[in-house]
Amino acid sequence: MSTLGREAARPAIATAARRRRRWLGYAFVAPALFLHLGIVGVPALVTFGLSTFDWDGLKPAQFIGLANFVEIFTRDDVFFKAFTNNLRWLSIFLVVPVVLGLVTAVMVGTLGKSQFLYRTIYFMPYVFSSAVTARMFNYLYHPFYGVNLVFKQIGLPQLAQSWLGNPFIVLYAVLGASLWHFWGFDFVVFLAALQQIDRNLYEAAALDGASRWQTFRYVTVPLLRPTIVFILLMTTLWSFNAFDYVYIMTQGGPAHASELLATWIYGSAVAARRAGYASALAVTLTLISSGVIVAYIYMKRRGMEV
Amino acid sequence: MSANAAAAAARTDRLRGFPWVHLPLLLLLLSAIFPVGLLAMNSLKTDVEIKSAPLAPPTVLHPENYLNAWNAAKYNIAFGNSLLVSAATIVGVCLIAGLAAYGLTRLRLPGTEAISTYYLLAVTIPAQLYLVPLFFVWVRLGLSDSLVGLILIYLAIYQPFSIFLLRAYFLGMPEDIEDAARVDGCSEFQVFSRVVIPLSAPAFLTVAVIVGTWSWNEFLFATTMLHKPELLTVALKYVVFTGMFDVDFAQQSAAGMMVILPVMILFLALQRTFVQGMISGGLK
Repeated sequence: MSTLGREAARPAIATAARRRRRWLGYAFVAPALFLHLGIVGVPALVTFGLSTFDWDGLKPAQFIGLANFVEIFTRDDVFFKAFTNNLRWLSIFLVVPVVLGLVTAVMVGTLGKSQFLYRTIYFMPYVFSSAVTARMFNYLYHPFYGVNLVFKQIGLPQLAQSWLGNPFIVLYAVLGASLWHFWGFDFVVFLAALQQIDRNLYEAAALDGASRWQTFRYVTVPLLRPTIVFILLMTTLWSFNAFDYVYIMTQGGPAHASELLATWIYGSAVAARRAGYASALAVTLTLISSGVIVAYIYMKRRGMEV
Repeated sequence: MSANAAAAAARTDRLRGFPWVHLPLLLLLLSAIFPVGLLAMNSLKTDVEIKSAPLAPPTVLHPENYLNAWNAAKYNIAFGNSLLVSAATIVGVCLIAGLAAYGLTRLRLPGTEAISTYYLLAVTIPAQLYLVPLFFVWVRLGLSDSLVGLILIYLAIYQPFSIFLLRAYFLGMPEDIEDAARVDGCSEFQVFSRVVIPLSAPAFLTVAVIVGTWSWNEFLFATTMLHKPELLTVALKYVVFTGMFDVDFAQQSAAGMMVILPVMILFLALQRTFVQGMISGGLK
Protein backbone atom coordinates (compact mmCIF):
# COMPACT_ATOMS: atom_id res chain seq x y z
CA MET A 1 0.00 0.00 0.00
CA SER A 2 2.59 2.47 1.09
CA THR A 3 4.60 1.79 -2.08
CA LEU A 4 1.58 2.61 -4.19
CA GLY A 5 0.99 5.86 -2.30
CA ARG A 6 4.54 7.01 -2.90
CA GLU A 7 4.34 6.21 -6.60
CA ALA A 8 1.19 8.30 -6.95
CA ALA A 9 2.51 11.27 -5.00
CA ARG A 10 5.76 11.38 -6.93
CA PRO A 11 4.79 13.11 -10.21
CA ALA A 12 3.15 15.97 -8.31
CA ILE A 13 6.27 16.58 -6.28
CA ALA A 14 8.40 16.23 -9.37
CA THR A 15 6.67 18.90 -11.49
CA ALA A 16 6.58 21.42 -8.69
CA ALA A 17 10.15 20.63 -7.80
CA ARG A 18 11.36 20.68 -11.36
CA ARG A 19 10.42 24.29 -11.95
CA ARG A 20 12.08 25.31 -8.71
CA ARG A 21 15.13 23.22 -9.57
CA ARG A 22 15.53 24.90 -12.92
CA TRP A 23 15.95 28.34 -11.37
CA LEU A 24 18.13 26.88 -8.69
CA GLY A 25 20.19 25.20 -11.37
CA TYR A 26 21.05 28.53 -12.95
CA ALA A 27 21.90 29.87 -9.50
CA PHE A 28 24.29 26.93 -9.10
CA VAL A 29 26.00 27.53 -12.43
CA ALA A 30 26.02 31.34 -12.30
CA PRO A 31 29.01 32.08 -10.02
CA ALA A 32 31.36 29.87 -12.01
CA LEU A 33 30.08 30.90 -15.41
CA PHE A 34 30.06 34.65 -14.79
CA LEU A 35 33.54 34.57 -13.29
CA HIS A 36 34.80 32.64 -16.30
CA LEU A 37 33.05 34.92 -18.79
CA GLY A 38 34.48 37.98 -17.04
CA ILE A 39 38.05 36.72 -16.97
CA VAL A 40 38.32 34.58 -20.10
CA GLY A 41 35.31 34.88 -22.42
CA VAL A 42 34.76 38.61 -22.61
CA PRO A 43 38.45 39.64 -22.62
CA ALA A 44 39.05 37.10 -25.41
CA LEU A 45 36.39 38.83 -27.50
CA VAL A 46 37.77 42.26 -26.57
CA THR A 47 41.15 41.16 -27.94
CA PHE A 48 39.57 40.76 -31.39
CA GLY A 49 38.37 44.36 -31.19
CA LEU A 50 41.63 45.61 -29.73
CA SER A 51 43.54 44.07 -32.63
CA THR A 52 42.23 46.87 -34.87
CA PHE A 53 43.61 49.62 -32.63
CA ASP A 54 46.91 51.28 -32.00
CA TRP A 55 47.16 51.47 -28.23
CA ASP A 56 49.99 51.75 -25.72
CA GLY A 57 47.70 51.06 -22.77
CA LEU A 58 47.77 54.65 -21.56
CA LYS A 59 46.85 57.16 -24.27
CA PRO A 60 43.46 56.91 -25.99
CA ALA A 61 43.37 54.05 -28.47
CA GLN A 62 43.30 54.86 -32.16
CA PHE A 63 41.35 52.80 -34.67
CA ILE A 64 43.63 51.68 -37.50
CA GLY A 65 41.61 48.90 -39.15
CA LEU A 66 43.68 45.98 -40.27
CA ALA A 67 47.00 47.84 -40.19
CA ASN A 68 48.30 45.65 -37.37
CA PHE A 69 47.66 42.53 -39.42
CA VAL A 70 49.29 44.10 -42.47
CA GLU A 71 52.35 44.82 -40.36
CA ILE A 72 52.42 41.24 -39.01
CA PHE A 73 52.40 39.67 -42.45
CA THR A 74 54.54 42.18 -44.34
CA ARG A 75 57.04 43.82 -42.02
CA ASP A 76 57.36 41.76 -38.83
CA ASP A 77 60.42 39.54 -39.33
CA VAL A 78 60.23 38.34 -35.74
CA PHE A 79 56.73 37.02 -36.36
CA PHE A 80 57.99 34.80 -39.15
CA LYS A 81 60.94 33.66 -37.09
CA ALA A 82 58.65 32.84 -34.17
CA PHE A 83 56.14 31.09 -36.42
CA THR A 84 58.88 28.97 -38.00
CA ASN A 85 60.19 28.12 -34.54
CA ASN A 86 56.67 27.11 -33.47
CA LEU A 87 56.48 24.79 -36.49
CA ARG A 88 59.84 23.25 -35.59
CA TRP A 89 58.71 22.91 -31.99
CA LEU A 90 55.44 21.34 -33.13
CA SER A 91 57.00 18.85 -35.55
CA ILE A 92 59.41 17.56 -32.92
CA PHE A 93 56.74 17.40 -30.23
CA LEU A 94 54.37 15.52 -32.55
CA VAL A 95 56.98 12.78 -33.01
CA VAL A 96 59.46 12.39 -30.16
CA PRO A 97 57.30 12.29 -27.01
CA VAL A 98 54.50 10.44 -28.79
CA VAL A 99 56.73 7.65 -30.11
CA LEU A 100 58.80 7.53 -26.94
CA GLY A 101 55.70 7.51 -24.74
CA LEU A 102 53.95 4.84 -26.82
CA VAL A 103 56.92 2.48 -27.13
CA THR A 104 57.82 2.87 -23.46
CA ALA A 105 54.22 2.31 -22.40
CA VAL A 106 54.05 -0.91 -24.44
CA MET A 107 57.29 -2.11 -22.82
CA VAL A 108 56.27 -1.13 -19.29
CA GLY A 109 52.82 -2.64 -19.87
CA THR A 110 54.36 -6.12 -20.12
CA LEU A 111 55.96 -5.80 -16.68
CA GLY A 112 54.61 -6.83 -13.31
CA LYS A 113 55.12 -4.92 -10.13
CA SER A 114 57.96 -2.72 -11.44
CA GLN A 115 55.34 -0.86 -13.56
CA PHE A 116 54.64 1.25 -10.54
CA LEU A 117 58.25 2.40 -10.18
CA TYR A 118 58.60 3.35 -13.84
CA ARG A 119 55.29 5.17 -13.90
CA THR A 120 56.19 7.18 -10.81
CA ILE A 121 59.58 8.30 -12.03
CA TYR A 122 58.68 8.95 -15.67
CA PHE A 123 55.69 11.06 -14.73
CA MET A 124 57.24 12.98 -11.84
CA PRO A 125 58.92 15.76 -13.90
CA TYR A 126 55.49 16.69 -15.25
CA VAL A 127 54.28 17.86 -11.82
CA PHE A 128 57.34 20.03 -11.14
CA SER A 129 57.27 23.78 -11.45
CA SER A 130 58.49 24.74 -14.92
CA ALA A 131 60.31 27.69 -13.33
CA VAL A 132 62.57 25.30 -11.41
CA THR A 133 63.09 22.79 -14.20
CA ALA A 134 63.84 25.59 -16.67
CA ARG A 135 66.46 27.07 -14.33
CA MET A 136 67.85 23.58 -13.73
CA PHE A 137 68.53 23.32 -17.45
CA ASN A 138 69.90 26.86 -17.41
CA TYR A 139 72.54 25.48 -15.05
CA LEU A 140 73.17 22.37 -17.19
CA TYR A 141 73.59 24.61 -20.27
CA HIS A 142 75.87 27.05 -18.43
CA PRO A 143 78.76 28.26 -20.65
CA PHE A 144 81.43 27.22 -18.11
CA TYR A 145 79.75 24.81 -15.70
CA GLY A 146 77.05 22.14 -16.05
CA VAL A 147 77.54 19.72 -18.94
CA ASN A 148 80.33 21.80 -20.50
CA LEU A 149 82.46 21.34 -17.39
CA VAL A 150 81.74 17.60 -17.45
CA PHE A 151 82.82 17.40 -21.10
CA LYS A 152 86.02 19.24 -20.26
CA GLN A 153 86.79 16.98 -17.31
CA ILE A 154 86.27 13.72 -19.22
CA GLY A 155 88.60 14.96 -21.96
CA LEU A 156 86.04 15.86 -24.61
CA PRO A 157 86.18 19.68 -24.55
CA GLN A 158 85.24 19.77 -28.26
CA LEU A 159 81.71 18.70 -27.26
CA ALA A 160 81.23 21.82 -25.15
CA GLN A 161 78.82 24.26 -26.76
CA SER A 162 77.35 27.64 -26.19
CA TRP A 163 74.00 25.90 -25.77
CA LEU A 164 71.89 28.97 -25.22
CA GLY A 165 74.16 31.44 -27.04
CA ASN A 166 74.36 29.72 -30.40
CA PRO A 167 71.36 30.71 -32.56
CA PHE A 168 71.42 27.36 -34.35
CA ILE A 169 71.29 25.32 -31.15
CA VAL A 170 69.33 27.42 -28.67
CA LEU A 171 65.81 26.46 -29.79
CA TYR A 172 66.62 22.75 -29.58
CA ALA A 173 68.33 23.14 -26.23
CA VAL A 174 65.22 24.76 -24.76
CA LEU A 175 63.02 22.23 -26.54
CA GLY A 176 65.02 19.41 -24.94
CA ALA A 177 64.29 20.79 -21.49
CA SER A 178 60.59 21.06 -22.29
CA LEU A 179 60.54 17.52 -23.72
CA TRP A 180 62.14 16.18 -20.56
CA HIS A 181 59.42 17.87 -18.55
CA PHE A 182 56.53 16.75 -20.71
CA TRP A 183 56.99 13.29 -22.25
CA GLY A 184 55.88 11.40 -19.10
CA PHE A 185 52.39 12.75 -19.69
CA ASP A 186 52.13 11.00 -23.07
CA PHE A 187 53.55 7.89 -21.43
CA VAL A 188 50.91 7.64 -18.67
CA VAL A 189 48.07 8.39 -21.09
CA PHE A 190 49.22 5.55 -23.35
CA LEU A 191 49.80 3.21 -20.42
CA ALA A 192 46.26 3.86 -19.14
CA ALA A 193 44.82 3.26 -22.61
CA LEU A 194 46.81 0.03 -23.03
CA GLN A 195 45.34 -1.34 -19.83
CA GLN A 196 41.87 -0.99 -21.35
CA ILE A 197 42.73 -3.35 -24.20
CA ASP A 198 41.23 -6.82 -23.93
CA ARG A 199 43.98 -9.35 -23.07
CA ASN A 200 42.22 -11.97 -25.21
CA LEU A 201 43.13 -10.06 -28.36
CA TYR A 202 46.81 -10.55 -27.58
CA GLU A 203 46.29 -14.23 -26.89
CA ALA A 204 44.44 -14.56 -30.18
CA ALA A 205 47.29 -12.80 -31.96
CA ALA A 206 49.82 -15.07 -30.25
CA LEU A 207 47.81 -18.14 -31.26
CA ASP A 208 47.85 -16.95 -34.86
CA GLY A 209 51.63 -16.78 -34.60
CA ALA A 210 51.90 -12.99 -34.87
CA SER A 211 55.35 -11.57 -34.16
CA ARG A 212 55.70 -8.87 -31.53
CA TRP A 213 56.00 -6.19 -34.21
CA GLN A 214 52.89 -7.51 -35.96
CA THR A 215 51.00 -7.54 -32.66
CA PHE A 216 52.05 -3.97 -32.01
CA ARG A 217 51.28 -2.80 -35.54
CA TYR A 218 47.98 -4.63 -36.10
CA VAL A 219 46.51 -4.92 -32.60
CA THR A 220 47.91 -2.24 -30.31
CA VAL A 221 48.18 0.74 -32.63
CA PRO A 222 44.68 0.46 -34.21
CA LEU A 223 43.08 0.07 -30.79
CA LEU A 224 44.99 3.08 -29.47
CA ARG A 225 44.06 5.27 -32.42
CA PRO A 226 41.58 7.49 -30.53
CA THR A 227 44.18 8.02 -27.82
CA ILE A 228 46.89 8.81 -30.35
CA VAL A 229 44.63 11.32 -32.10
CA PHE A 230 43.76 12.93 -28.77
CA ILE A 231 47.45 13.25 -27.89
CA LEU A 232 48.34 14.70 -31.29
CA LEU A 233 45.55 17.25 -30.99
CA MET A 234 46.56 18.31 -27.48
CA THR A 235 50.22 18.43 -28.49
CA THR A 236 49.35 20.77 -31.36
CA LEU A 237 47.50 23.16 -29.06
CA TRP A 238 50.21 23.08 -26.41
CA SER A 239 52.99 23.54 -28.94
CA PHE A 240 51.45 26.74 -30.25
CA ASN A 241 50.93 27.96 -26.69
CA ALA A 242 54.41 27.02 -25.40
CA PHE A 243 55.77 29.87 -23.30
CA ASP A 244 57.39 29.10 -19.93
CA TYR A 245 60.63 27.44 -20.99
CA VAL A 246 61.59 29.98 -23.62
CA TYR A 247 60.57 32.91 -21.46
CA ILE A 248 62.53 31.74 -18.41
CA MET A 249 65.57 30.23 -20.13
CA THR A 250 66.32 32.66 -22.98
CA GLN A 251 63.61 35.37 -23.16
CA GLY A 252 63.45 34.43 -26.84
CA GLY A 253 67.09 35.32 -27.48
CA PRO A 254 69.75 35.55 -28.70
CA ALA A 255 68.40 37.94 -31.33
CA HIS A 256 64.98 36.20 -31.35
CA ALA A 257 66.59 32.86 -32.31
CA SER A 258 64.41 31.01 -29.80
CA GLU A 259 61.38 33.29 -30.07
CA LEU A 260 57.95 31.63 -30.13
CA LEU A 261 54.62 33.25 -30.96
CA ALA A 262 53.52 33.21 -27.31
CA THR A 263 56.71 34.93 -26.11
CA TRP A 264 56.60 37.42 -28.98
CA ILE A 265 53.03 38.39 -28.07
CA TYR A 266 54.13 38.81 -24.48
CA GLY A 267 57.14 40.90 -25.47
CA SER A 268 55.04 43.12 -27.73
CA ALA A 269 52.47 43.72 -25.00
CA VAL A 270 54.73 44.12 -21.99
CA ALA A 271 58.15 45.26 -23.17
CA ALA A 272 57.09 47.22 -26.26
CA ARG A 273 53.76 48.31 -24.70
CA ARG A 274 51.93 47.74 -27.98
CA ALA A 275 48.64 46.37 -26.68
CA GLY A 276 46.84 46.61 -30.02
CA TYR A 277 49.63 44.95 -31.96
CA ALA A 278 49.98 42.20 -29.36
CA SER A 279 46.24 41.60 -29.64
CA ALA A 280 46.53 41.24 -33.41
CA LEU A 281 49.34 38.71 -32.87
CA ALA A 282 47.20 36.83 -30.33
CA VAL A 283 44.30 36.69 -32.78
CA THR A 284 46.65 35.35 -35.45
CA LEU A 285 47.99 32.69 -33.08
CA THR A 286 44.46 31.64 -32.11
CA LEU A 287 43.36 31.37 -35.74
CA ILE A 288 46.39 29.22 -36.53
CA SER A 289 45.96 26.84 -33.62
CA SER A 290 42.18 26.64 -33.82
CA GLY A 291 42.51 25.93 -37.54
CA VAL A 292 43.89 22.55 -36.54
CA ILE A 293 40.92 21.85 -34.28
CA VAL A 294 38.45 22.93 -36.94
CA ALA A 295 40.15 20.68 -39.49
CA TYR A 296 39.88 17.78 -37.03
CA ILE A 297 36.18 18.35 -36.35
CA TYR A 298 35.52 18.77 -40.07
CA MET A 299 37.21 15.48 -40.89
CA LYS A 300 35.30 13.77 -38.12
CA ARG A 301 31.98 15.17 -39.37
CA ARG A 302 32.76 13.95 -42.85
CA GLY A 303 33.03 10.49 -41.34
CA MET A 304 36.74 10.19 -41.97
CA GLU A 305 38.50 7.86 -39.63
CA VAL A 306 40.80 10.01 -37.57
CA MET B 1 42.64 -24.10 -21.63
CA SER B 2 43.83 -25.82 -24.80
CA ALA B 3 47.42 -26.89 -25.22
CA ASN B 4 48.00 -24.10 -27.74
CA ALA B 5 46.64 -21.41 -25.45
CA ALA B 6 48.73 -22.76 -22.59
CA ALA B 7 51.82 -22.58 -24.79
CA ALA B 8 50.98 -19.03 -25.81
CA ALA B 9 50.43 -18.02 -22.21
CA ALA B 10 53.72 -19.61 -21.24
CA ARG B 11 55.42 -17.66 -24.02
CA THR B 12 54.00 -14.31 -22.86
CA ASP B 13 55.02 -15.20 -19.32
CA ARG B 14 58.54 -15.85 -20.45
CA LEU B 15 58.64 -12.56 -22.37
CA ARG B 16 57.41 -10.86 -19.24
CA GLY B 17 60.42 -12.13 -17.35
CA PHE B 18 62.92 -11.01 -19.99
CA PRO B 19 65.39 -8.79 -18.19
CA TRP B 20 66.52 -6.95 -21.33
CA VAL B 21 63.28 -4.94 -21.36
CA HIS B 22 64.58 -3.23 -18.26
CA LEU B 23 67.74 -2.02 -19.96
CA PRO B 24 66.31 0.83 -22.07
CA LEU B 25 63.72 1.50 -19.39
CA LEU B 26 66.38 1.95 -16.75
CA LEU B 27 68.32 4.28 -19.05
CA LEU B 28 65.18 6.38 -19.44
CA LEU B 29 64.69 6.22 -15.69
CA LEU B 30 68.18 7.60 -15.25
CA SER B 31 67.54 10.43 -17.71
CA ALA B 32 64.29 11.29 -15.93
CA ILE B 33 66.00 11.38 -12.55
CA PHE B 34 69.32 12.92 -13.55
CA PRO B 35 68.47 16.65 -13.64
CA VAL B 36 66.46 16.53 -10.40
CA GLY B 37 68.97 14.21 -8.75
CA LEU B 38 71.72 16.64 -9.68
CA LEU B 39 69.69 19.52 -8.29
CA ALA B 40 69.22 17.63 -5.02
CA MET B 41 72.93 16.81 -4.87
CA ASN B 42 73.99 20.36 -5.67
CA SER B 43 71.69 21.65 -2.96
CA LEU B 44 73.84 19.81 -0.41
CA LYS B 45 77.28 20.71 -1.83
CA THR B 46 79.24 23.94 -1.71
CA ASP B 47 79.48 26.32 -4.66
CA VAL B 48 83.19 25.47 -4.97
CA GLU B 49 82.46 21.73 -5.12
CA ILE B 50 79.79 22.24 -7.80
CA LYS B 51 82.23 24.23 -9.91
CA SER B 52 85.12 21.78 -9.53
CA ALA B 53 83.46 18.33 -9.37
CA PRO B 54 80.08 18.69 -11.09
CA LEU B 55 79.03 15.04 -10.90
CA ALA B 56 80.57 14.02 -7.56
CA PRO B 57 78.29 13.51 -4.57
CA PRO B 58 78.84 15.94 -1.68
CA THR B 59 81.84 15.04 0.52
CA VAL B 60 80.24 16.69 3.53
CA LEU B 61 76.50 17.45 3.57
CA HIS B 62 75.65 21.17 3.69
CA PRO B 63 72.01 21.38 4.77
CA GLU B 64 72.67 24.97 5.86
CA ASN B 65 72.29 25.89 2.15
CA TYR B 66 68.56 25.54 2.67
CA LEU B 67 68.46 27.91 5.61
CA ASN B 68 70.72 30.41 3.84
CA ALA B 69 68.66 30.29 0.66
CA TRP B 70 65.42 30.55 2.63
CA ASN B 71 66.64 33.72 4.30
CA ALA B 72 68.37 35.23 1.27
CA ALA B 73 65.39 34.69 -1.03
CA LYS B 74 62.95 35.88 1.68
CA TYR B 75 61.00 32.69 1.15
CA ASN B 76 58.91 33.04 4.31
CA ILE B 77 56.83 35.76 2.63
CA ALA B 78 56.73 33.99 -0.72
CA PHE B 79 55.71 30.67 0.85
CA GLY B 80 52.95 32.44 2.76
CA ASN B 81 51.71 34.01 -0.49
CA SER B 82 51.80 30.74 -2.41
CA LEU B 83 50.10 28.78 0.37
CA LEU B 84 47.37 31.40 0.54
CA VAL B 85 46.88 31.48 -3.23
CA SER B 86 46.82 27.68 -3.54
CA ALA B 87 44.52 27.16 -0.55
CA ALA B 88 42.06 29.84 -1.65
CA THR B 89 42.10 28.53 -5.22
CA ILE B 90 41.43 24.97 -4.04
CA VAL B 91 38.53 25.95 -1.78
CA GLY B 92 37.06 28.36 -4.32
CA VAL B 93 37.32 26.02 -7.30
CA CYS B 94 35.85 23.09 -5.35
CA LEU B 95 32.93 25.28 -4.34
CA ILE B 96 32.05 27.06 -7.59
CA ALA B 97 33.02 24.22 -9.95
CA GLY B 98 31.25 21.74 -7.68
CA LEU B 99 28.06 23.79 -7.73
CA ALA B 100 28.28 24.34 -11.48
CA ALA B 101 28.98 20.68 -12.22
CA TYR B 102 26.08 19.65 -10.02
CA GLY B 103 23.76 22.16 -11.66
CA LEU B 104 24.82 20.99 -15.13
CA THR B 105 24.46 17.30 -14.28
CA ARG B 106 21.39 17.03 -12.10
CA LEU B 107 19.17 20.04 -12.53
CA ARG B 108 18.41 19.45 -16.21
CA LEU B 109 18.96 22.98 -17.38
CA PRO B 110 18.12 24.07 -20.87
CA GLY B 111 21.39 25.37 -22.29
CA THR B 112 23.60 22.77 -20.63
CA GLU B 113 24.99 21.83 -24.03
CA ALA B 114 25.82 25.44 -24.88
CA ILE B 115 27.60 25.95 -21.57
CA SER B 116 29.62 22.76 -22.02
CA THR B 117 30.60 23.82 -25.52
CA TYR B 118 31.67 27.21 -24.21
CA TYR B 119 33.96 25.61 -21.63
CA LEU B 120 35.38 23.21 -24.20
CA LEU B 121 36.13 26.12 -26.51
CA ALA B 122 37.66 28.09 -23.65
CA VAL B 123 40.28 25.44 -22.91
CA THR B 124 41.50 25.36 -26.51
CA ILE B 125 42.27 29.08 -26.81
CA PRO B 126 45.71 30.33 -25.81
CA ALA B 127 46.01 32.42 -22.64
CA GLN B 128 47.53 35.21 -24.75
CA LEU B 129 44.11 35.76 -26.31
CA TYR B 130 42.63 37.17 -23.09
CA LEU B 131 45.78 38.19 -21.23
CA VAL B 132 46.16 41.72 -22.65
CA PRO B 133 42.66 43.14 -22.00
CA LEU B 134 42.54 41.29 -18.69
CA PHE B 135 45.76 42.94 -17.59
CA PHE B 136 44.48 46.46 -18.30
CA VAL B 137 41.12 45.76 -16.66
CA TRP B 138 42.88 44.30 -13.62
CA VAL B 139 45.05 47.40 -13.34
CA ARG B 140 41.94 49.62 -13.49
CA LEU B 141 40.17 47.57 -10.85
CA GLY B 142 43.21 47.56 -8.57
CA LEU B 143 43.39 43.77 -8.91
CA SER B 144 46.87 43.68 -10.41
CA ASP B 145 49.54 43.44 -7.74
CA SER B 146 46.96 41.77 -5.54
CA LEU B 147 46.75 38.14 -4.46
CA VAL B 148 42.95 38.34 -4.60
CA GLY B 149 43.22 39.36 -8.26
CA LEU B 150 45.46 36.39 -8.99
CA ILE B 151 43.19 33.97 -7.10
CA LEU B 152 40.19 35.18 -9.14
CA ILE B 153 42.09 34.41 -12.35
CA TYR B 154 42.97 30.91 -11.13
CA LEU B 155 39.35 30.33 -10.13
CA ALA B 156 38.42 31.06 -13.73
CA ILE B 157 41.14 29.20 -15.63
CA TYR B 158 41.08 26.00 -13.53
CA GLN B 159 37.30 25.80 -13.63
CA PRO B 160 36.71 23.95 -16.92
CA PHE B 161 38.97 21.05 -15.90
CA SER B 162 37.30 20.81 -12.49
CA ILE B 163 33.78 20.98 -13.89
CA PHE B 164 34.50 18.26 -16.48
CA LEU B 165 36.04 15.99 -13.87
CA LEU B 166 33.32 16.48 -11.25
CA ARG B 167 30.55 16.21 -13.80
CA ALA B 168 31.87 12.86 -15.02
CA TYR B 169 31.89 11.68 -11.42
CA PHE B 170 28.37 12.94 -10.64
CA LEU B 171 27.03 11.22 -13.77
CA GLY B 172 28.24 7.91 -12.38
CA MET B 173 26.53 8.42 -9.03
CA PRO B 174 23.06 6.93 -8.35
CA GLU B 175 20.47 9.70 -8.17
CA ASP B 176 18.26 7.76 -5.71
CA ILE B 177 20.23 8.88 -2.68
CA GLU B 178 19.75 12.54 -3.58
CA ASP B 179 16.02 11.94 -4.17
CA ALA B 180 15.77 10.29 -0.78
CA ALA B 181 17.34 13.36 0.80
CA ARG B 182 14.85 15.60 -1.06
CA VAL B 183 11.93 13.50 0.18
CA ASP B 184 13.35 13.92 3.67
CA GLY B 185 13.04 17.66 3.22
CA CYS B 186 16.55 18.75 2.24
CA SER B 187 16.84 21.90 0.12
CA GLU B 188 18.84 21.64 -3.11
CA PHE B 189 21.80 23.29 -1.47
CA GLN B 190 21.60 20.88 1.46
CA VAL B 191 21.43 17.95 -0.95
CA PHE B 192 24.61 19.28 -2.52
CA SER B 193 26.50 20.07 0.67
CA ARG B 194 25.38 17.13 2.84
CA VAL B 195 24.93 14.35 0.31
CA VAL B 196 26.76 15.06 -2.94
CA ILE B 197 30.00 16.47 -1.54
CA PRO B 198 30.63 13.67 0.99
CA LEU B 199 29.75 11.00 -1.59
CA SER B 200 32.08 12.43 -4.20
CA ALA B 201 34.98 13.15 -1.87
CA PRO B 202 37.50 11.27 -4.08
CA ALA B 203 36.66 13.50 -7.07
CA PHE B 204 37.00 16.64 -4.97
CA LEU B 205 40.32 15.36 -3.64
CA THR B 206 41.55 14.92 -7.22
CA VAL B 207 40.49 18.46 -8.11
CA ALA B 208 42.10 19.84 -4.95
CA VAL B 209 45.41 18.08 -5.52
CA ILE B 210 45.74 19.03 -9.17
CA VAL B 211 44.44 22.58 -8.97
CA GLY B 212 46.65 23.07 -5.92
CA THR B 213 49.70 21.90 -7.86
CA TRP B 214 48.86 24.02 -10.89
CA SER B 215 48.36 27.17 -8.85
CA TRP B 216 51.57 26.49 -6.92
CA ASN B 217 53.52 26.14 -10.18
CA GLU B 218 51.69 28.72 -12.32
CA PHE B 219 53.98 31.25 -13.95
CA LEU B 220 52.45 33.27 -16.81
CA PHE B 221 49.61 35.02 -14.98
CA ALA B 222 51.57 35.38 -11.76
CA THR B 223 54.48 37.09 -13.50
CA THR B 224 52.11 39.32 -15.48
CA MET B 225 50.04 40.46 -12.53
CA LEU B 226 52.42 40.54 -9.56
CA HIS B 227 55.35 42.96 -9.36
CA LYS B 228 55.74 44.08 -5.76
CA PRO B 229 58.47 41.95 -4.12
CA GLU B 230 56.34 41.26 -1.06
CA LEU B 231 53.56 39.76 -3.20
CA LEU B 232 55.54 37.30 -5.33
CA THR B 233 54.66 33.61 -5.23
CA VAL B 234 57.39 31.01 -4.60
CA ALA B 235 57.88 30.20 -8.28
CA LEU B 236 58.32 33.91 -9.11
CA LYS B 237 60.55 34.55 -6.13
CA TYR B 238 62.71 31.63 -7.17
CA VAL B 239 63.11 32.98 -10.71
CA VAL B 240 64.03 36.42 -9.38
CA PHE B 241 66.42 34.94 -6.81
CA THR B 242 68.24 32.74 -9.34
CA GLY B 243 68.43 35.65 -11.75
CA MET B 244 70.65 37.63 -9.37
CA PHE B 245 74.23 37.05 -10.40
CA ASP B 246 75.82 37.04 -6.96
CA VAL B 247 73.94 33.95 -5.80
CA ASP B 248 75.99 30.75 -5.68
CA PHE B 249 74.85 27.52 -7.33
CA ALA B 250 74.47 25.70 -4.01
CA GLN B 251 71.95 28.21 -2.70
CA GLN B 252 70.16 28.38 -6.05
CA SER B 253 69.77 24.60 -5.98
CA ALA B 254 68.47 24.59 -2.41
CA ALA B 255 66.01 27.35 -3.34
CA GLY B 256 64.78 25.24 -6.27
CA MET B 257 64.44 22.11 -4.16
CA MET B 258 62.24 23.99 -1.71
CA VAL B 259 59.84 24.93 -4.52
CA ILE B 260 59.44 21.37 -5.81
CA LEU B 261 59.63 19.40 -2.54
CA PRO B 262 56.05 20.09 -1.37
CA VAL B 263 54.67 19.00 -4.75
CA MET B 264 57.03 16.04 -4.91
CA ILE B 265 55.94 14.75 -1.49
CA LEU B 266 52.29 15.22 -2.38
CA PHE B 267 52.85 13.40 -5.66
CA LEU B 268 54.59 10.44 -4.05
CA ALA B 269 51.85 10.18 -1.43
CA LEU B 270 48.92 10.48 -3.86
CA GLN B 271 50.40 9.17 -7.07
CA ARG B 272 47.26 7.46 -8.37
CA THR B 273 45.16 10.57 -7.77
CA PHE B 274 47.67 12.72 -9.67
CA VAL B 275 48.00 10.44 -12.66
CA GLN B 276 44.30 9.73 -13.11
CA GLY B 277 43.37 13.36 -12.58
CA MET B 278 45.96 14.70 -15.00
CA ILE B 279 44.94 12.17 -17.65
CA SER B 280 41.28 13.08 -17.41
CA GLY B 281 42.25 16.74 -17.28
CA GLY B 282 44.32 16.51 -20.46
CA LEU B 283 42.17 19.39 -21.55
CA LYS B 284 43.76 21.82 -19.20
